[in-house]
Amino acid sequence: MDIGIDLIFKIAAIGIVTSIVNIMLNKAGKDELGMMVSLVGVIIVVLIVIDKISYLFQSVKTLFNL
Amino acid sequence: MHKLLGKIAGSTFIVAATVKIGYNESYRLSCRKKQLKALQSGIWLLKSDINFTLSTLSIAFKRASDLVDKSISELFLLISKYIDEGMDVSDAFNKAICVLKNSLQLKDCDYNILIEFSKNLGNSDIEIETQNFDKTLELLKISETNAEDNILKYSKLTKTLGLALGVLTVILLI
Repeated sequence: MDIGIDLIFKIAAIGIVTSIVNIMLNKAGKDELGMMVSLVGVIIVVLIVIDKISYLFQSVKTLFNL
Repeated sequence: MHKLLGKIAGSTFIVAATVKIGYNESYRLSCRKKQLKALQSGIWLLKSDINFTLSTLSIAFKRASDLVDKSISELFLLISKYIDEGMDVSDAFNKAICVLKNSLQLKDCDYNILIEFSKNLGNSDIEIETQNFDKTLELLKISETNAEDNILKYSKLTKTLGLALGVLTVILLI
């Protein structure tokens, strides 16, 4: 499975956008909403990489004949 | 090549749309302040009309509607029309607010001030009426200050959020 540089850039971009939104919301006094946005960002990234993580575990299992 | 151009065009559309939504929200915030100002000048006009020329409510509303901002002018005209039809002042206010709620950018607390104002309007002596006008003008002034605070707080936020949402959507779709 090819991970590719695109995925890393995508995750970085999501991180940047999420942190900008978080900062703006915190400045406007909407701290709870800012935290929710951060959480949503994390969930989106986890959903993107979940199959890669699963592939990693599969590879480790195969490598050590587990 | 065509695929890339399609992607660029699509991304531009998405970002433009979300930025537009953000700017619209920001515009709505500034509209509330403008309408509250117009409402204050309208009520001030009503006060002077009723105090000095002793006009009836219907005529006073009609006169004030000619002099205030268009959005509030419609509200005053409707109230005047409903009073002419024989409705109670409070009911006329309620009905006019219900009809124009979608076109006005005011919040529920602003409508409550108007409804409270209407309950005491036209059924007491001139001194009490003047007090009612003054109290309403004071409350509307507080609402206007609140609207100004909201503009300072959220105007930039809505614009940035619009852009950020568009960029996030594009990133997820690419």
